[in-house]
Amino acid sequence: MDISWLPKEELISLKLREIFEKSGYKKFKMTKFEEYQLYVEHKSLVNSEKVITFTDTDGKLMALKPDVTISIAKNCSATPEATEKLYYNENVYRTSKETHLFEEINQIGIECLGKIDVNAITEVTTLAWKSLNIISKNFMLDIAHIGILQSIFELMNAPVSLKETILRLLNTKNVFALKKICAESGVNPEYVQLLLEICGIRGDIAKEINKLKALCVNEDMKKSVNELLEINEKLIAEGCKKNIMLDFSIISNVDYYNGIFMHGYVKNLPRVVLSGGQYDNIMKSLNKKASAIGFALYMDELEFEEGMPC
Amino acid sequence: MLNIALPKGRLGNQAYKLLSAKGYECREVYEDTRKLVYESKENGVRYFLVKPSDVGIYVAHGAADLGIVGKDVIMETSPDVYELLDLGFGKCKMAVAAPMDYVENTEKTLRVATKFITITKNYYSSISREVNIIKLHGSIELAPILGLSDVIVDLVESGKTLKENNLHIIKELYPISARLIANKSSFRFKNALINELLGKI
Repeated sequence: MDISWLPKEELISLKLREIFEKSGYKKFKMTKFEEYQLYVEHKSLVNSEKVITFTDTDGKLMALKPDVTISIAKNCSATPEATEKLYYNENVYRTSKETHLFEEINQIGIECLGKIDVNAITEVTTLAWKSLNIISKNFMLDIAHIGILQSIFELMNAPVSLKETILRLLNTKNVFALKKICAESGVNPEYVQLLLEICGIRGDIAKEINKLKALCVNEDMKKSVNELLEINEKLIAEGCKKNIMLDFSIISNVDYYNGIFMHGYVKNLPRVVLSGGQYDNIMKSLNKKASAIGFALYMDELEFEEGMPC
Repeated sequence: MLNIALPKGRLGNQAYKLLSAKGYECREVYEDTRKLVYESKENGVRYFLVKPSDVGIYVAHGAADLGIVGKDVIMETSPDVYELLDLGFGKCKMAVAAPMDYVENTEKTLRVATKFITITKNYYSSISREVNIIKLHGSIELAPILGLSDVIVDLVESGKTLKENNLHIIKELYPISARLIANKSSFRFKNALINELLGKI
């Protein structure tokens, strides 16, 4: 059957389903609503100022989901012995950071829940790479390891507000302000050098990670660096060699995610189109024993592809 | 080709002077002052002149790859962009000013007139002071004179305007200067061009 007449977004979503199904992921159909209580208990995980709520016929306060991952994590029965692999195509409702109005966002993504080892991380990262490759040949998958930042933060023993400021500056690649803030707050020069190095990193994973290797401050950090190196080797073996880079500016939160974190960009689209990572902390907060990793593609960002200046 | 958003006015002129001296000249800029887009194919650059408070929006949405903008605008609108350089010009400060004889009554809600709602709100909530913010679009100095507000939060460069209106700074909040910002996607796909520009300036 010829389906080439379909709009580009629909063709993309079909091709995405194909690669997810072929990798053993099962479609997960979600209910439209969640109990509002879930988002009260896990407020810090919800990436939105407000949630749309209504009262159900039985008087319960319900919400239109602002996030898919929490719902999947809450409902899964995965354990470290029994891994569950799921994908979804869902709408979420969030407030726009710019207009402060509610918007409907279509997300397609996968979640792998259970025992998350280097092979599972590689599989999910490879699927992220392949998903972007379906959208455009001109894409960029950025990788970072949150464990590296967490090690430094732990050693610094910095107050929460300083950590948040440092993260915000890393997030905006604001090297000069980072230098200033660290000096004003009396951060150990060894850590300052490390943070500045991390802030400036953008390039080939193997090459850049070797720079960090020499600067490792403790065993935890060494472990994270080695994990990143191992994953990189496996990714290369899977054929994901091009269009992949190490860049720590994608990290905006070190509590929600741990381990590998990723962001995907496509040429001529101004905003991030793919976001994901390992989120064992969410699982823990929902009393789950399993670890988990996944990513989501923001399908409505793709509509902008035509008409962007080059 | 790099698309650069410049703020209309003095800051934009200074920014253009810096960029043109470093090899990003665009002759058209001198020829016709009504135009809003200037392009120089040979230097690989296109300039847009936009309202200063809109620079962040043009860059965040990718209409411009780079932008030059005051730190005040970044603080007020927090666009999702990279802040790559402090350019060191356009220096001034964000400050609270009040009439010479003003004494704060801490029993009452403080009335503050300003253009910078978010910055003002964040500052006073950080010190837990109850305020009533009055949004104005210009001539902020007039507000305390007419009794519209107790104090103002505004940019102060030399302090001359304040003095002429019998006002003075009672608290300096943040140092402000011009910043070079970049769209996060452009930074990835035009990395070589952007790094070349960063290296030159």
